[in-house]
Amino acid sequence: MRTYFVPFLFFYLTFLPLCFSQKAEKVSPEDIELAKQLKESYPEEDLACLSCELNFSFDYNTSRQKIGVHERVEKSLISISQNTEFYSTHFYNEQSRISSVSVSNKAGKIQDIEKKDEYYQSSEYFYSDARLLYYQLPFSIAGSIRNVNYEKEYFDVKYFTSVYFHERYPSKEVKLNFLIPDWLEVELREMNFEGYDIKKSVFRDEKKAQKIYTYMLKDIESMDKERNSPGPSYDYPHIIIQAKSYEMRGEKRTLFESVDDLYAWYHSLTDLLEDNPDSYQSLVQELIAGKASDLEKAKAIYYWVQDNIRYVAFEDGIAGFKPDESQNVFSKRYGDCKGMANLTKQMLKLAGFDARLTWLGTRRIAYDYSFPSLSVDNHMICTLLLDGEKYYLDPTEKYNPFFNYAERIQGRAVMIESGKEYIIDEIPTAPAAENTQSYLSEVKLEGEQLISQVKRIYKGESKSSLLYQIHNTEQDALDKSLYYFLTRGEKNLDAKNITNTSFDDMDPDLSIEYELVRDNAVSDFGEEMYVDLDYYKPFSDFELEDRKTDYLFPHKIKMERKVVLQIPDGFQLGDLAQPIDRSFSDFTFKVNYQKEGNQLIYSNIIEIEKAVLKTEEFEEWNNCIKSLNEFYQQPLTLIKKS
Amino acid sequence: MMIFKRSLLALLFILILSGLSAQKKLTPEYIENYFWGSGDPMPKDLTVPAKWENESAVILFQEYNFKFENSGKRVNQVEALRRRIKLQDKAAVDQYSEFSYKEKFDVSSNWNRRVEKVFAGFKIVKPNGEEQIVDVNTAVRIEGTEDYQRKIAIPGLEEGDIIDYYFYSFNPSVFTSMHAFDPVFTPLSAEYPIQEQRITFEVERRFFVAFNSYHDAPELELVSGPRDKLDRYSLIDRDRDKIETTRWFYPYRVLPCIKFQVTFARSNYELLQMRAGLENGETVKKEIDGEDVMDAYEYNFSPYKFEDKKLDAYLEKKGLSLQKDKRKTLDAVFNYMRTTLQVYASELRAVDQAGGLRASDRSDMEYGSNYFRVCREFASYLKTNKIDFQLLIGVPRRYGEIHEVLFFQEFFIILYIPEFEIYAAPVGEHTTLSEFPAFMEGVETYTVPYAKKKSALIKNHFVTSTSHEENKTLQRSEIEIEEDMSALSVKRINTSWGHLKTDEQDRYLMLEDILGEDYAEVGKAKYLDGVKLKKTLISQARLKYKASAEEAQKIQEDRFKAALEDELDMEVPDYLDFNITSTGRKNAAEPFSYEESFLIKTDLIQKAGPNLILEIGRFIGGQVALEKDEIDRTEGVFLDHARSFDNEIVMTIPEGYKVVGLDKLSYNIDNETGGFVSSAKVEGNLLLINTKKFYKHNFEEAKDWPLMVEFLEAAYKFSQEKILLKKAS
Repeated sequence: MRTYFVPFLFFYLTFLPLCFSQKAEKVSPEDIELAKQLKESYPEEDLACLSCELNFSFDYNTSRQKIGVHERVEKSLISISQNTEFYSTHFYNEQSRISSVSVSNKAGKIQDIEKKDEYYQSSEYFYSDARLLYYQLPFSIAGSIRNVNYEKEYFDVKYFTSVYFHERYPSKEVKLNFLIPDWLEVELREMNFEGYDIKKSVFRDEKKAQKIYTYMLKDIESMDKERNSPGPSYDYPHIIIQAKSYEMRGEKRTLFESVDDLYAWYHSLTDLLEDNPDSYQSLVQELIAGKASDLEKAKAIYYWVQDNIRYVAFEDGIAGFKPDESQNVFSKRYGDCKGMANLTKQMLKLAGFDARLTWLGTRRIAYDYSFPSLSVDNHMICTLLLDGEKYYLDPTEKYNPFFNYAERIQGRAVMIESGKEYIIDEIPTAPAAENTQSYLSEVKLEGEQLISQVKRIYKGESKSSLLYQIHNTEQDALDKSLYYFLTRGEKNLDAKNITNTSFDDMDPDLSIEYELVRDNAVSDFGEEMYVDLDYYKPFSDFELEDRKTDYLFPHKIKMERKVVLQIPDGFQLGDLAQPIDRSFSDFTFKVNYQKEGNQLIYSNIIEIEKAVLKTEEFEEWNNCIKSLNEFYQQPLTLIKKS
Repeated sequence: MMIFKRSLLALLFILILSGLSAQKKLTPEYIENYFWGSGDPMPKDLTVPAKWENESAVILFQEYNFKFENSGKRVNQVEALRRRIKLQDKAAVDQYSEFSYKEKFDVSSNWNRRVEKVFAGFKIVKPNGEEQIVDVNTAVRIEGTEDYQRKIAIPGLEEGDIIDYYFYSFNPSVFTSMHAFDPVFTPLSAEYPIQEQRITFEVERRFFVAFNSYHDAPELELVSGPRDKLDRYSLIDRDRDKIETTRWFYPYRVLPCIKFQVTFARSNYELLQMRAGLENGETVKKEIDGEDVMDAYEYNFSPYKFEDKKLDAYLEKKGLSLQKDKRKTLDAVFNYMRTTLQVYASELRAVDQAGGLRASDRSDMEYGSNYFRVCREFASYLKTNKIDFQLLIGVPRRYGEIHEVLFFQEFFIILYIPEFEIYAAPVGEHTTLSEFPAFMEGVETYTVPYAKKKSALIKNHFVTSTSHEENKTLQRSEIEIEEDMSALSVKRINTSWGHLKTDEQDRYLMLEDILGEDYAEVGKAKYLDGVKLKKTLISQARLKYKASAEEAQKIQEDRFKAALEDELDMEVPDYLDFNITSTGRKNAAEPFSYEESFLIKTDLIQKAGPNLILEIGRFIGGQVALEKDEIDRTEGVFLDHARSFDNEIVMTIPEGYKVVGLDKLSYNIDNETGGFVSSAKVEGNLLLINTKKFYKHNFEEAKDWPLMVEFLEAAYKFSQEKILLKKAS
């Protein structure tokens, strides 16, 4: 026995390391060449999809008594870089599950993958029931192919809202098949198909009594990951699935046939609320006591909720659609948009107002209430109906005055509760002037310093965002932060004698006044002096190059800067930079110098009347920015009088 | 690597848990009652001292407690924290409105799987004294189910409230021999001021506590009686202002700090050994002295006999031998070892990532990856060749001085060869003989002669402090203005020596930059060129290795570009070219050097009618911009090392222009702490500017800070200067 044992051990020790070495994968020269071609087409990408077929079928689940959706996906992915590290991800939640996942190589041999299944973390939500199943795809080199097959089940067709063609990676071909049985009425809404060569066919499968709708799109780029972009529903082609009704034992049962049905479902959830105002009754009385008008009363309540209830987002099954009871939100001092809207409503009701819960999609979503789908809204606010007017109150906003609407909800369609009925309306839009930021200063030269008396005024959203920053700063650091804000942390700037209007009052404009001393703004070369009057130079670095998607501004902007310079005795003005007076679409740039007596007035007004800059407007925008830069590049020249 | 826990936040605690010994008592109710029950010793006063009324938050009370018990088979370790904080503004409310913590922690061994629970409790104390306990069951899971991470939103929290919370953990472990728990080194001050804090230890006598307080931190007191089963120690600290840090500040050298470590002895012998250095009646160890160091290192570092035929052949080929040229040979030997151990290990790691490493070579990778390996091997070489050397054992100066050392993890060891007065240090794959890390600059060390027996005296040695001339960067910028006056074309040569060289090497040199020159020197083939593996496997590994090398090259370019942009404080989209001309890895005298060329459009040049204004000062790079509140300083100034930055700027003056404003470019400040000296002149069509900024020492007393301010401000002012290129009329 022993004589056999020793050689065996020897063999084991010697070859064990090789046994553990990674196995090489045979990648065909054709696939290597294909990867090379794809890399040339998509140099920024590491992975591409050769083909992807998604099949969606529908069935009735008797135990749940719901129409379920079965999604079956087969895709073939190719690595187009040598070191591709790619994680395949599948989302699901309490209304769905991933029933199977498998990865195989090109030859069909199943590959080992280490799957991880975790709650999805996002800074957007404090808690979400969304879960993420993910695993790394084992690619060897460029040209290596992996087939990923998976199946997902939606327990209720209501939650199966849309399907996109685009992915995180480019695709050569994507095919969507919807297998719709005769007993189910589904409308497939084709969104943003224009400009894409999407082939559609419909095939009737008599045997299975179903219609098969097939959509195919080829050569698809990856979904852009640019910042400040509109939501995907604006640009990318996709299909909205609207399950309208079904027939069961000869009887028609309605799902989401019209917007009425969507509201009916929402209303059925809000009907379940058991609000009890006992805990906040005395507070409401306290808030409205002594207030002269109804608007003052409503304002006091709205501001209290904004100030005192923290926004903490939950997305948890049905709780993602049903508001929390007002007394809970009140006692916890936190809630999500629905909870905060409901508390505002209940407090207003207690004060004798007609206040309603209101559903809407923020500007991230391209849809309005022209069709019923859970994908049309993502937010809830409260509408106050007073003297025939509607006031939209979004308590999740911070430092938002009563009559101001945040950009994200302006112009959006809303669905306002009205018992069994509902009202569809639109939130008014406001001009950029409501968000004006002004910088007014009077300047004189002292040696090589510029001494300015500055007044800055903030309105609307520019004020709200500044107040938000102020109130989120530790009180012992506030003076330093304000100083930093006013001097931009630049050593050449010094702000003195700072005064400001109250940071606690949301209604009036916010105004900050101070003396600004600037070093290094004047270059004195004896006969000539060069003066840089505007250290801020708004929009100087705002050329949009190589951008593919529209640019979203946080809100409409009006920036107004006026600097009045006292021309020093013994000096005259040199050539002044050419004025800029350009406007296109909803954008205006007016920058100039004007001499008035012994004063030189520098004026810079930039207005952005529409908070989105479309790609087709980029060229004109960039030209304006170029002119602006040229203006900024040219210092003001003061020449000694001879 | 030394491990310091830099924040007490990393720990968990309690009050003295008298009689709490059995694990079975640990229910959430028991723990809650313990902290918040009738016996709560927390001061009842909720008022904040007037001087802290404007602070964001004030820690009214906090207590850390550690308890170590030996229950026979197991060692039970309790860690607990209780904290009560007054929240005085919205920012503080926001900070404490959510907590995330681990509900359980994994104490699995290779023998069994086990998790222990962390008990947590939160309550709000309203200004009127009303208390609201938070239901911890509302906490939600925030990560994968395996990680026990929980997150809780604190309901009803408002400005003016007090948040009162605790964490408590009980960790039973099995140790078959001596076990040292993680050492802790922390300042007593925190983000918020602290009215009162306590640190408490309870240890059975089988445990050994090392503890000391520094920079006027209160002492740890023994509070238990001689008959108590446990030794109880307590530190009480009151009225502690919040932490304020500033530029060039080593908090561990200045702030009141404490250090501690608890060690468990399985046997009486081990306990005796640990207590050997203590005076009569002492139970807590307060320092590690020379004796301890001698005991620890005399035998721990005993180099073996060295033999390497390949090294012998290499030296022979180079015509080197100890007899002919000892110093040069030592340089070559050190570099040879660096290549064959450390650099080789780096190559193997890259090969491994490409999937081409034979498992049998993994041990080489791990062996050479140990940063101390080259030094150890070199020590063996010295010993075998009877070249006298010593071990120098000291503490990085950021953390303290040698008489303040409390645990061995604080030490850093380098070799010293008295014959040449040079060091050999375990640092990185670019280190040459005589280079050592900046953190050992001027550090006082113990000297352990390797060959001598215990009777040998331990002498103190001070590691060299390098001069600003030794740690130097020279930048030569050659500037041409483009014909249309719209851009500057710049060619820059950057050369650095000393510690500044080390920084640049670490930032810029990629594996491929060093493999080529190192392997050519020692005649070594690249791993993937010689390894025997299956053909497809090797070809795939090569492809992946090449792709990684290309990625590294891209990273290298990005780093060069980013450093330039950071220095000039602007974007440089037209970064045209770079080239490393000297890696500086042959010996300490050889600099690291690279050339780069780039275009600067518009940013530094302004057109004023026919004239041009050029921000010439910016070419010396971004300078320290002292803020208003930095001008006065009460703390000493800790710099990593002395250093100097020289700049030569050569600009071709465009035809038809003359330079105006040169008078602003002359500075001459040279004082005891450093200086800034500059000059500018025109020679023919060239504008020549020279600047030199230098910090003379690695430490300045606070009283000398105004001298530093003088040259720092001068350099900043220079960096803001402009010249006028005036068109001849």
